[in-house]
Amino acid sequence: MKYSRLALLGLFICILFILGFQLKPDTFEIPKTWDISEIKKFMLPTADGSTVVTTISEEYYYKLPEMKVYKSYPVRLLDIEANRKYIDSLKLLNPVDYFQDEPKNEEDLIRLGEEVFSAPLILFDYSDDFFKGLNGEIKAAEIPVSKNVFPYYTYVVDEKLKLKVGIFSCAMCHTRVMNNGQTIKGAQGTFPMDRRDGFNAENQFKSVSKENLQQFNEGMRKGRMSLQKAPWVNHSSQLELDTINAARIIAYLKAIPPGVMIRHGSNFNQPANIPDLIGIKDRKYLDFTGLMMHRNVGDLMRYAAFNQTLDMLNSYNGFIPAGIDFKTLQEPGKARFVGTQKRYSEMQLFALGKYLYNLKPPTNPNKFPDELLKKGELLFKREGCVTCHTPPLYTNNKLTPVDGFTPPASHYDSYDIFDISVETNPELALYTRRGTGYYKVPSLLGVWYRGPFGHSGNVATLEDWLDKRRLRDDYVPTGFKPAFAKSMAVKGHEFGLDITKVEKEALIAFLKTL
Amino acid sequence: MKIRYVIFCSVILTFISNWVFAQDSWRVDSTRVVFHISNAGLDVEGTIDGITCNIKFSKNKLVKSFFTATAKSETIQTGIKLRDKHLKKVDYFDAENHPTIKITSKQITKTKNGFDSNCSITIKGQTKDINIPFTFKQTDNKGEFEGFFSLNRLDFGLGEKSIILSDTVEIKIWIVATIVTN
Repeated sequence: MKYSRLALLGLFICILFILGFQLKPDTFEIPKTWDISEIKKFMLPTADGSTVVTTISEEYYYKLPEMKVYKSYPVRLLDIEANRKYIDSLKLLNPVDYFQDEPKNEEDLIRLGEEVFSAPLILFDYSDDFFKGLNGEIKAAEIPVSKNVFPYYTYVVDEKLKLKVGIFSCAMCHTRVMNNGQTIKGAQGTFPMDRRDGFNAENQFKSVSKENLQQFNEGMRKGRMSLQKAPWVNHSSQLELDTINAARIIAYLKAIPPGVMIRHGSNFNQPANIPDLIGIKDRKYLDFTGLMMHRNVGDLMRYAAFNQTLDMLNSYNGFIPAGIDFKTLQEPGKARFVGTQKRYSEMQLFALGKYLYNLKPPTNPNKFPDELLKKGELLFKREGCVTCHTPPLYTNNKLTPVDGFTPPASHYDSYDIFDISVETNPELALYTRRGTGYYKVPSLLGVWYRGPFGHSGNVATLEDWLDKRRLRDDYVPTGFKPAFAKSMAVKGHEFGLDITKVEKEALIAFLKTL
Repeated sequence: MKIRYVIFCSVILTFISNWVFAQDSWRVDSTRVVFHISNAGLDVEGTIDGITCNIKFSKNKLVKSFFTATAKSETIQTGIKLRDKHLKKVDYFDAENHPTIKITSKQITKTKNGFDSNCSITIKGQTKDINIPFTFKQTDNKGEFEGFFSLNRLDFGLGEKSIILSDTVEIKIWIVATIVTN
């Protein structure tokens, strides 16, 4: 009897110990985001090599107030009455600050990371005008939306009885709506932000009076200067920014289709393909020009901090894109460009990184006969695709120098260089703030749910990409076609262009299964 | 009498020495160099041209037989234009700085099936010893040399270790030549 009591006591202590151990929150080793020595290592130099890029200091960064990540709710596309009820119901909710408590374990961390992914940089009060305007924008800019939901924005409750609209989250650009309405988080996004901006600016432009026209032109030009100017670059795409007017900017914006965007720090009239974040864990370089190395989750945290949008506070030989008159850095938290007043907390960025690492591709619905796939795989090897798009990642994770750029000798020791240009348009890699002289070799995993293709999304489909006619000057791009251009050659990457129609079918079938 | 004897001996010695050591010189009519390498499990065939050869060879007088051959690295072709361009760059042949591939025989010996040549091969500034077995067929004044060997591309800095591209390259050389002197 005495022994059995002792045994019971022992068992009880054991259970307590096990429970206690299990309930103890995981401790995470979180890298320091704004570690200047790490930042210096992870950033590639600009293509011209002479431009000194100076980021904000550690002191400046950590003086920025931390962002709050509140629970957000979907923007539903309902009829007016149903929407009113929905909005009223949201207004009754209490704010939920997701990072008030530390995440308990890895799973919790990933879940919170998803919230950071959807957390907007800008909040503004909800109004019925917003809802009406949104429906107008969807029609005008032909914005792909999922069934009854506008997946690029969210509603946020950050104080009781108030409902805010949240925009400029990671999800805004990295959410894809498929033709069947399916939404894929992290994939090449389908929100045509530039086109929407173009239509909105056009509406404003129509109502600008003659006496305010110059001011309007100058305002739009300065906006573009801030977003895209690289003063050290002597190229027509940069020089045009010195004199461009609103009408021309609007035309450029309206030409941008879903899947690509006029990236800040890039070219104002040539969009960049929005990357698929699914599988990012295995990528060695981030950004289409390999601007930043990806050695660990710390680098991904840094990338997120820079691109949401603290890189606007970088100094490029003294040119500060979001600085006063492009020259002077404001006090921490006082810069006027969206996203530069606050920073994510270290935990938020770490959670975001873990979430992105954990993104899974959607179920592939494509089914093809085995024989066709075998043939396609053989062609993939025979046509040389396999050398750069090497399995299992379907990228060799390297950087290819563009035409007009010769890698300095030191780069061969520092970076993974596949020393051949595939002769595509080099402008994004040469004449922009993000230009490193390289393009990153993209992974072909998940290519079935992606598009348009090419650095600027000039072709809509894989079929078009493998169509030799795209090399001709009279080719009409099926994806992004620059404003004012009737046709243009989509040059370079001349692989698989000389195969037969049957072979092409097999190759594309194979690609669509990756 | 003594002088006559010396002259006679000299003539005989010259004759013998020519018979023992004199080699057939060959004028090269055509050449072909083909290499094979496995890429992602698929055989890739390529060629290299711009061949020049100097051949002194007699199958019965191997001691003094020798050959040298050079090829131009910029002539490499594998059927894909951009791949060929890449192969000429620094990470492969570095054709600008190392335009020539050179093979020089050091010793040729008879084997059961043909001949063995102990050679030095220089690619991208790296010289290694290599054994090149070859066969020789002669019909009248025409000769056909056919050699086959393999090498490790990494020994010569041709690319880097790869999960898809084999280290080993197999090379076949054909030379058709015409005898020009005896």
